[in-house]
Amino acid sequence: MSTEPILDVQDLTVVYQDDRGRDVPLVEDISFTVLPREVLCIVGEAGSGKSVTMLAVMGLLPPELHITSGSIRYRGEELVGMPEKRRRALRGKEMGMVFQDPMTALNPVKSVGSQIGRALSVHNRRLAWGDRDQRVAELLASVGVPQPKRRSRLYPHEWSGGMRQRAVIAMAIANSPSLLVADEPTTALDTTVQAQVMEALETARETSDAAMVMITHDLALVAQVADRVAIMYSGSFVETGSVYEIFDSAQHPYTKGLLASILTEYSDTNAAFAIPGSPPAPSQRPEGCAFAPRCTSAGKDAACLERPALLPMPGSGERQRAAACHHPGTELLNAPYAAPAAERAGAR
Amino acid sequence: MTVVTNAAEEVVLRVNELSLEYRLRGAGPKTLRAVDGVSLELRRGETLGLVGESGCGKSSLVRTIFDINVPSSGSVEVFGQRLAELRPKDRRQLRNRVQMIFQDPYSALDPRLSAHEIVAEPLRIARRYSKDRVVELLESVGLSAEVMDRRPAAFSGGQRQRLGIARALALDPDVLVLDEPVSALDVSVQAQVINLLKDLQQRLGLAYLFIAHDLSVVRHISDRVAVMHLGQIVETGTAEEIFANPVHPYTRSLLSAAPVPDPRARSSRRRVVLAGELPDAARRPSGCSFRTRCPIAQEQCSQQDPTLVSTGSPTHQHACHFPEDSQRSVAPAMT
Repeated sequence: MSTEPILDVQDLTVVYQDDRGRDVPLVEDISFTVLPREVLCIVGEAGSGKSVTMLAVMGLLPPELHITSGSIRYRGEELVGMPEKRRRALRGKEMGMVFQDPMTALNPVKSVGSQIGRALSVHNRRLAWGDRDQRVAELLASVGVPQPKRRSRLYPHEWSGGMRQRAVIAMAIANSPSLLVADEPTTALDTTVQAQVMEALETARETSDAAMVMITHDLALVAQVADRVAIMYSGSFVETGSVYEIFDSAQHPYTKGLLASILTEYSDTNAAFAIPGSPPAPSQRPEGCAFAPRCTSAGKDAACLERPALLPMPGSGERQRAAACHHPGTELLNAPYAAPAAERAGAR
Repeated sequence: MTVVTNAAEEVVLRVNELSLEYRLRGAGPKTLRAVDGVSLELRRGETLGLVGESGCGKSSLVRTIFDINVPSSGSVEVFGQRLAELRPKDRRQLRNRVQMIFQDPYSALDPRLSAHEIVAEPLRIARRYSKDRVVELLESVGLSAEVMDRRPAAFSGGQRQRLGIARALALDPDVLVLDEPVSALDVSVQAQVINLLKDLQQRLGLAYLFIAHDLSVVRHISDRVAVMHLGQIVETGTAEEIFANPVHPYTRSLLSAAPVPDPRARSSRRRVVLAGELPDAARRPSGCSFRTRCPIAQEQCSQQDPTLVSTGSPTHQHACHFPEDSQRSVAPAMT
């Protein structure tokens, strides 16, 4: 494996301006690299900034969001501040994207085949019509769409949800990208269809030899596909490591809590582990350690009033295993569930 | 609030051979059978998990239970009384005892009402309003009285779902129908709501009809499980029977399709065993409705629609012609 990263993000900060003109950070100082053919999963809850991160990478941030610092390099080329024309040449060709909701990702008034064909011809002006249709059918067949020729003439509403997401995947890999970005690609689908679509995505990724950044909140899915994992909370990475490091020896109490709250047959049937409270809105992130108000780790003390840096764990090598906690590795307190009346519910 | 003593065996909700057909317009088939001869029993204090993919008829079933759709045949009984045979006034009374929790706590609450008004609304309609009762309800779901004047926008997803639960509890129901109650919530919040539901069930003796596609949640909360495919129940049993010893190939493939939260499990098993998706309910295959996706389908399956038969255990039933083949050849049970 080449050590030159496909994607290199350093100290990225994305903000939006609120009504009073103040900058509210959505993503703060995050850094990560993705090597060729590597799968990085970014795990986080609603409002953690994971989708904003990926939109920044794709250059698709809505106008009210701004990158205030940091760099995003694709194969060494700086993307922040790059002219839109060059960006467009990369997007869809070198970098493919799979969105969460295939219904809104596809244009309802154009046939599915013509949309995939467009993704091809936009980056290859000299592509002949016949070749184009042939290639579209091949792409659809490669992601497991039966009768691809016939189906490519149908419109998105005539496709089922799982099939639509396959079409979106076919479009993302149409130009054999080096990087795939997938934002919750199977969240909108049923379990059986989810398994089929994940399989199609994995096969597509392997055949096109692409690296992938996948955003998800589903840890079980992470366990299935990730090489490396970054856990995001309240705009920052709180822990990074290989999938085995994260699942076997999580250090941050948030990671530990997420893993403990997965319901399995071993879960205590009377009280599953639950992280108390809910994640803060970006405008109301606490000072110091953002997770401290919800932390049930024994280590919580005065140090937590200060924001912890994402520090490499002792003994970790080049590809850092890191956690942003003043007391990494401390056990979760075994008091998962307070009586409901005692639980205070502040506003978000 | 009512204290329940030992009436554990009492059936609070019974669905009898219920079918629901929608009439279709235009060319093609004239009717769509969304629910096809479904029978269910829910006893006081227990949780019945109802599992199936989207389009399998779960929501149609729920709508019929709530009297929104009129069944084509069969009946719904609440406390032994058939809804269809009651006078409107009695029907309303009885229906208060069955309440609903919705999937999306963002659209299920009126954004212009305060938390207080949301919980007070059913009480006012039933002419039983008191402020103390609203406070009591809010506290019973872990919300403090201080938040009463806030509107839904000021609450997080988990808090909104708590608000929805408080509203559903207002009229002292005996049965809650929960339609994917945690699937729209953040992972770290899901467990909180599940714990709250279990706690309320123990305190109030509620019976739950818990509809979900997330099998780990269903397994965690259910006493019994029913698996639905294209309008029919294809397997039913205790949670243990369904998860440890599933018989129907559909149940087995559902279980094997669920990803396992362990990176070491990925190479050790093939997850996908099901080809294709749920068939169009208006163009139902002949015979067994699952045969077009089934890995072990044979000639007989296209000719004869299997009915629910016992597996040997009094609580465990399945609708498959070849249960032995299923256990031999379709993916392993969830372990």
